[in-house]
Amino acid sequence: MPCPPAVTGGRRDPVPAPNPAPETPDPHEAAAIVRVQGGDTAAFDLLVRRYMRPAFAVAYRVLGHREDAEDVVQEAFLAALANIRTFDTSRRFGPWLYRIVVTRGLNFRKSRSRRTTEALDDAGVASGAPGPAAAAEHSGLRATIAAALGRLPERQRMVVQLFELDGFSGAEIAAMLGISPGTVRWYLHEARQALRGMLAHLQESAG
Amino acid sequence: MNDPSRLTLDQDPARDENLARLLRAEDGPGPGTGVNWERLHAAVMRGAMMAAAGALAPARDWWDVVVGWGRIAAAASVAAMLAAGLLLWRTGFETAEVTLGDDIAPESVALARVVAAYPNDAVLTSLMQTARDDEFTSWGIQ
Repeated sequence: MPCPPAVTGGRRDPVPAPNPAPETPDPHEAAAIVRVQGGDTAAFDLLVRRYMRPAFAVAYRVLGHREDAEDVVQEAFLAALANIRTFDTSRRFGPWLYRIVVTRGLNFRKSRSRRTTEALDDAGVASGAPGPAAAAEHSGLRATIAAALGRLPERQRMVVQLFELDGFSGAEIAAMLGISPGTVRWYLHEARQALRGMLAHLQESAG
Repeated sequence: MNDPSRLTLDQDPARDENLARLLRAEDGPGPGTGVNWERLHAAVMRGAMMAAAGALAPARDWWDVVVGWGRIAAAASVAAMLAAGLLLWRTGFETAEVTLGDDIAPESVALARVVAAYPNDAVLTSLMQTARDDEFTSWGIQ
């Protein structure tokens, strides 16, 4: 089986790929979906490999917790598989999957809201935290930025992180959040303005 | 793409590299850095394979369901017919013992069957006799 190309949304994917037009389905992907719709579950493998990382990024932005995000990604893929017959193969699979991820993530968070408070600490531990000295040096910076992000309305925070950090396009974010691309750009603009204001002193010293 | 500081609703703005750099400082090396992707992939595919048998079974039309239940339905029909025949056969013998007219009330038929089932029961005989007497007494006939 040929190695599936990486897709947008995986900023840290080892093989970055150009962002295809949001509504242009990849022929290999469409063929795989048709096979899955016909009952060939092995063809689902291509979709899982291709979308696992960006789906995780979306889940993490919703939940702020790595293990919960992994659980939601699994759930979302299985939900997508269960409903694959309803999927229109003339559209791209990614936005449809991300929408499922967001919905499942929000439901998951409702049921286990207590865990989201551990997000910042968990992210540091899970992602290979720096040593004690470096951690102490960066803890003030991280706390300042985390506080600024925490003061944004949730949708603005998600939009700015998904756009600036994870590399999703406005159209993709719109599809996953169930809002218009124009609204996404408005949220992005508002979030940027707010963050620039709150982090101006850091930007000056960093620049 | 355009100036990240300008608001444009018809197309995506350019990425704001300065802001992204700060956000990355907070984000660390990335939320997915510590994820075991192979394990996650295996878990998803294992779940998919387990779900495949049920979830991906082709949707059946109603006639497929009927055909699937056909043998069971046929066997059940034969059993029901045999049971009904047996019941009718046995009930027929019982009713033959009690010869009653068509114009008799169902309650009387039921009572007559009970009496016929216990022909030597003194209490029932007495009750029947009393009932007959009452029937005529109520009209003033002795």
